[in-house]
Amino acid sequence: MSWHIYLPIAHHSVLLPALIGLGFLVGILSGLFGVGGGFLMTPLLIMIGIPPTVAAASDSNQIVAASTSGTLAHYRLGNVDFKMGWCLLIGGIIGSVVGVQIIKVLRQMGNADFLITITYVVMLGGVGGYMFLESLQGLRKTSTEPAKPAAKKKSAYVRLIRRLPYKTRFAKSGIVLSPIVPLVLGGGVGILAAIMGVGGGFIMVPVMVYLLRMPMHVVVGTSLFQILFTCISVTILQAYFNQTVDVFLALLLLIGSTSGAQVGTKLGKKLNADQLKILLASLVLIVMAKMLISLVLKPDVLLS
Amino acid sequence: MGPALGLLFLIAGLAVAADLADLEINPSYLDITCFYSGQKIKISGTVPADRDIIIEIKGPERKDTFNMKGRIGPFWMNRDKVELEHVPFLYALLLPGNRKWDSQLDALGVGMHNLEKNITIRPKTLSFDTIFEQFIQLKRSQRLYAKLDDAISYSPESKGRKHLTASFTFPPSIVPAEYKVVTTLISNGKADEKSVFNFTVKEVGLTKTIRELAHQRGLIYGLLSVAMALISGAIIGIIFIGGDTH
Repeated sequence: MSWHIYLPIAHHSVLLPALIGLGFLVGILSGLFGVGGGFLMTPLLIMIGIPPTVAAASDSNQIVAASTSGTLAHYRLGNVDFKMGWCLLIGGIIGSVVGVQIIKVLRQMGNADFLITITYVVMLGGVGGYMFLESLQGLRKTSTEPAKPAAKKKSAYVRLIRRLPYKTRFAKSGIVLSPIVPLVLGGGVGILAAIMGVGGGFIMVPVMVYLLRMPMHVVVGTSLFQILFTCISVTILQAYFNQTVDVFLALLLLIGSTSGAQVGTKLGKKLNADQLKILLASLVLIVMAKMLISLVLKPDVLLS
Repeated sequence: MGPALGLLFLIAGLAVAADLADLEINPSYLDITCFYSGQKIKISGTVPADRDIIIEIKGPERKDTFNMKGRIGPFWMNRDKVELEHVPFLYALLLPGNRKWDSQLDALGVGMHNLEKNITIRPKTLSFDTIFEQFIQLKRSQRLYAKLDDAISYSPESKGRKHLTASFTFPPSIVPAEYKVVTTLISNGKADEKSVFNFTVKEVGLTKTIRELAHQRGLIYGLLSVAMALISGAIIGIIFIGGDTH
């Protein structure tokens, strides 16, 4: 029996265990951190010879499975705030429509790729760096003594969101907030995700943690719930307009990723919020460093 | 069952063709099934004892668009869109091992640099040579372009003819299409006779069904892909939940 499988849309033959293993690895990250993993999976698929457009579209398809599996696992643990998830999702959809228009304008102006990559590096560096330092401080505090409640001056952001109308209680997250906040933040992430061409999980998670002040475990479950719907729409649109979804590729990846997502969720239960954040921050910083290196070093082949 | 053995005769100048060479490609066509991971084909036959033969395998010609990286400040970024027309997706040059051919390839009208003659590169403002070199490098890295020295071997001559054998492995990343096997007979350092065989690479079975569905009924294909992912995710989720309850 051959261990290879030919992908009919990618026109490429790949090793079965390698693809399933890759899916499993990224699935663990998905279950652990609530990210879709597209920012990691797509470059890895390109590295093994899958055309970039097919890699991105098929990855969206497999994320549907991984996030379904992950959402179910987190739902069972009571970690999904559906109310917050819907608000972020609606904002995200509006934002992604705006983002796609911004990309069109950027492409007409030229150098869109440059702006996209720089946005990517800055976002990854900023988000990863902040999360890393913040969770490092958190870990140090818990390792010494319980911190005294600091009489912090309320920031302009906190004062602003407290003044917003239509406050409602997000029970799972344990916060009272105007739905305008997640709608606007979801919109912002949607814009960035559309510009950067990713699902946006790795931006959404820090936004929920730091700007919506949601508990880390609810963040992961809610993020997966939101990613599920984003990826369903991306898969259908890519299949219809570009014919770039390779169902064989997605199927093999999802065999690994759905199992990985469950393992990730179980691992996540054993870690505290700061440990989870520092791990995600490290991952984001590693991806950023890799991107930065590939930007600075002359590539072997200039055509791609 | 594997493809049947095929026998293809040179179509060049009917009166002299039989005198020059007869070749056989085995298998005579290639099926891409779900488990395709590259396939070796064997080319064998006879040529006049005083001639050499060079074999090119190429096709299909298409128009491809690439990103060309350039330096912007300290960064290497995609800077230009480059369009190449009449470029073969696959090109392999099979050479006999009896001598060094590199210096003669251009004069014989074979080899990768000979492809330059047909290729059009747009925009014209960019350096043709730079882009062509990069294109060859890219194709080589994808294992789609290759020059194979010593790929053709001869047996001792008999009755004024010698038997030749050559093999070529179609790479794992291949598109279904009509490929061409071009033979060039060499006499006294000059190209004597060129002939072209067609070689069909086609998808069959599930591979073909999936591709046709994706291209002809994109919406249904997209919905089915999503349904498959949702069901798989849910099944795995339920299996793990079930496992937890024990």
